Amino acid sequence: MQIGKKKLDIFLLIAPAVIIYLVFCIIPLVSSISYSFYDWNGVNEKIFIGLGNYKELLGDGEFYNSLKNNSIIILFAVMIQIPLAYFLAEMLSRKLKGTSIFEGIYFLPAVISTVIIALMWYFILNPNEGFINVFLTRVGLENFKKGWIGDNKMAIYCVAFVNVWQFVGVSMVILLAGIRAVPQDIHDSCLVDGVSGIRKSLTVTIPLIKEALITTTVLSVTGSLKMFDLVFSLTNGGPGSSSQVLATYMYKQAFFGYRYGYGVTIAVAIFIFSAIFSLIFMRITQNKD
Amino acid sequence: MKKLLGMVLAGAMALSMVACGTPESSKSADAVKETEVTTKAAETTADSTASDEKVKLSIYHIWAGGDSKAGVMTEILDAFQEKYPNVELDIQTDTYDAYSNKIKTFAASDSVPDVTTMFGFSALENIAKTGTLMDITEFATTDQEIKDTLNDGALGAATYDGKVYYLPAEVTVEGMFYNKALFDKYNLTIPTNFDELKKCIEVFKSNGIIPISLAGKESFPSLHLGQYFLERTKGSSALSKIAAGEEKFENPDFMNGLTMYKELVDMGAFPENIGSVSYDMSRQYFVTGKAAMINDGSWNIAQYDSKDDPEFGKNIVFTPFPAFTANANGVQDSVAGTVGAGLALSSKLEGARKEAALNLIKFICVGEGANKFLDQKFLMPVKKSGDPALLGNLFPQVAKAVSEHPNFVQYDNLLSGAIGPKLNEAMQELVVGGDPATILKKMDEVTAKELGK
Repeated sequence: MQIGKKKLDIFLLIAPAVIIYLVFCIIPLVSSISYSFYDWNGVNEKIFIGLGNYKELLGDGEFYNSLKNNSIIILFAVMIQIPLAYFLAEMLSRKLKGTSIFEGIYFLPAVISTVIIALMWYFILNPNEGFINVFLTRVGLENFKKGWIGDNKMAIYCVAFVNVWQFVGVSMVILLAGIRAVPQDIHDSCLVDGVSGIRKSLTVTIPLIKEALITTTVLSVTGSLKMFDLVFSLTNGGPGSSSQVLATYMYKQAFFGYRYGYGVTIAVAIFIFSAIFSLIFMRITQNKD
Repeated sequence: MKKLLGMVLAGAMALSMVACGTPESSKSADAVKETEVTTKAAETTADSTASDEKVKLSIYHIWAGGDSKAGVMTEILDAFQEKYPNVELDIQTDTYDAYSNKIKTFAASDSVPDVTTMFGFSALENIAKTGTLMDITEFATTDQEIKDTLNDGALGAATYDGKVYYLPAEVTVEGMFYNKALFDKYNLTIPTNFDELKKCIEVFKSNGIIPISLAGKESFPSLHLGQYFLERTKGSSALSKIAAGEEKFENPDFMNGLTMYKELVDMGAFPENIGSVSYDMSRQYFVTGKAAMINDGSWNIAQYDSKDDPEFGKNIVFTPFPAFTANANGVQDSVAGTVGAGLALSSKLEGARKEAALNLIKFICVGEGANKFLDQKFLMPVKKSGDPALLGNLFPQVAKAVSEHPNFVQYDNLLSGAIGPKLNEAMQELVVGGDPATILKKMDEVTAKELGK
């Protein structure tokens, strides 16, 4: 009897949290996924088409194009942003004058709204009126002018670069916290044993800040997968669809093309990719522990 | 994994909260509605003269904020409240983008505001099907003031399935704006046909001036221009045949049209790196004299006319896109003129509130509101004209073009479902370097899918 009452108490105490979680998280998520089985324009009657949207998605060239563009952004994030962030963090971890000022400067882009960042880079990378090309013309280096965001092949790299610029500070702060947590006696023994420079980084620092590295990698990869605002404001997926990413393609289908069901299908695909990535990543890191 | 799932769920929650957020004020309006309906149920036949009965109405419109009509719309609503003090307006506004998403939610959840902005064609079709809009056919066709004022055929755009759903309050015209000063400088005349246009393009190009300003970052500007190529080579009647499955996009005439469009792209008629040129920037090229021509809409008349340089507006010439001499199987002298947005009513209105709402849309669309719009150089589908002293140089030219030339409806508006938006994309693809045949093939694929439903 006592145990039964206790169970009831527990149930009553967690009920509010569970109900809020169900109503605002689980139910919307499940109902969203269910829309992907319908042909629906967002207003009128939904028509059940089973896996029709998924079949279409697998044969949709623009979907693969968007996926490819997301991959480029992820590659930039992992191969450039994180090494760069580590380099900056390593520099700033030395006890020198003015490091806190630089810490602030590098972190600054992360606190500015993405739309403002996109607008700023639009004025820099715009091929006709943009700062870079105007500057090159003024100093007589016209041959070095490029199409930047107006060029089919370069636009996505410009987006990936701006993304790195925006988030390198965030990765840096996480890594810096990791580096600063390394005990002083380890630094001292390195000094005694004569280990320094790149060798110290590879053999001592990086293994010790593994947790921080994993965190920042997961954050940048999932962030790149669901990236929307920067692409939407900087290139609007263009020229043509050369810098379209999954999230902007989803938006275009759902809200511009009156295809809500198909848009949700793309969103489910983003969800699946994020889930697969994190599962793989966690498996790899678990094995090493 | 749990953390990630948690993050995803939190995102979904935030989204759902945004989507469900009905404005606080409309809820209170609903509460008032209930009491009004019960008290007024007996007097549904009351005539339209203002009564002393207090009535509360919600109005949801998009002529606010950064919109060029924001100022005049506020004036109109103030004037209405002054004239009808018994009607209390609860005004909610949005941008066009937010509106087009929200109105779907309103319709799907049966919470359309009492008076709301509505657009013709596919937007109206989608919302009208839900039964949340009031059928105002009787009012719109029998009211004497409306009959006397509204242009013939203006209600066509507001009609779906034989029923009128809104009163239109705007006409949008798209055509060519020419900077006459630049044409004079290089001894050119305003082109009347495609060959002359190409000559002008060559001259401007060789003098380092952008011949025709056009934006490729957004998709609609390339459609506003591109529709003329389809209109001149075949005509908009083809679109209704396409919608009925009797014709295909990939036909010789449309092929010719897009090939000629592509010819201009290849000649360098448009700004370089057009894919990154935004609509704002394309207009900037024109008003700063960097470009000699622009294909744009009547909604920018006020901007072109009241530019800082008073001489600038005097030198602008407006005409429909030049006629074709070759491949001219379509309509040669037509101009894109579409009856645009207007105001519709919620089907829930009854009694005094219905009377007041009908009165309100009449006031805005054909009454004093129409006069104020006209005075501010906004085209209206009405047989009235604004104060000639205020109209400037450009407005009369556009108004004349619409009244003297046959009009055709903006092409994407004639296509239902996903086909219209796809045509915008297709034109954008063409101006950034796409190939006409592939583009038309894609259009046919989308059409087949849409018709197969």
